[in-house]
Amino acid sequence: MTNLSLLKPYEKMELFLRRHWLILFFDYFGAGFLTLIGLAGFFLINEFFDLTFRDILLFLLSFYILLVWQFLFKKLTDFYLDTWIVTDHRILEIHQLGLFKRDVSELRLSKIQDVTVKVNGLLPTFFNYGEVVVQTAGEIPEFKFKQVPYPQKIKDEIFRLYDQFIKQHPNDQEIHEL
Amino acid sequence: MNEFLTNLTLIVFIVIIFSYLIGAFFIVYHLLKFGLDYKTKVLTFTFLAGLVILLSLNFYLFLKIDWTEFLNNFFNYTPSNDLPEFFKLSI
Repeated sequence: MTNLSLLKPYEKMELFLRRHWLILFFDYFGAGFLTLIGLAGFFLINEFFDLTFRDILLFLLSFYILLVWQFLFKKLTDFYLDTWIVTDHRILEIHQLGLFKRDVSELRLSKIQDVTVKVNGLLPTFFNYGEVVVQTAGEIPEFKFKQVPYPQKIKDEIFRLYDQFIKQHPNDQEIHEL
Repeated sequence: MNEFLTNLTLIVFIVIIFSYLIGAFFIVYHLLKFGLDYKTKVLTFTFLAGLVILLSLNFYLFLKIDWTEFLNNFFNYTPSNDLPEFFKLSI
């Protein structure tokens, strides 16, 4: 179930996109690795100290895990709040930059000039993810769908929606708002 | 002196945890306010559940430590005294 508060009442959401899960996996892997280093460090030096110092080490380890927990969810927040929504009228790009900067851009489908797919590298080729670049005639020269899964299908779907929109909106007039 | 230092340790701990909680608040706030689907709600719940468990554990471990003894050992250390008690090998 998706919260559609960003959409207009007559709009229908066609695509709801996030980056490929592999991108998140790399962050998870980093956090997991950090935790393992912490645990291994604790068990390696733990035996060499007396009880009070061992308690302090355990306390520091638990604090370290708390920090890793927050790091993990900060990455998850960045991942989940970066989204691209393609409706039958517009493309919306919602970009979360850290915790305090958020950009929301939109593009009317009639402003699309060209759509390009870029799949560069070994992993993107194997896991089928890449960049979809939408060139526009609007204020923002291009919209980039970064590291999204199945970029070719997304491109085809954008062209289909563009054709449908042009047919339904001659002279680029919004028939629903008349 | 040691009582003062023990209290200071507690104050420093509270300040660090408070800063941590501010960071946690921003994560929860963003997920709840800007999250567009149910997955972000599930994430928020998971984050909070983990946070409560880990924070409780952290508090418990903090309170378990005998800070007075630790600080005594720490400040009684002089080069001629060999290593402070807590640094001595237990084996």
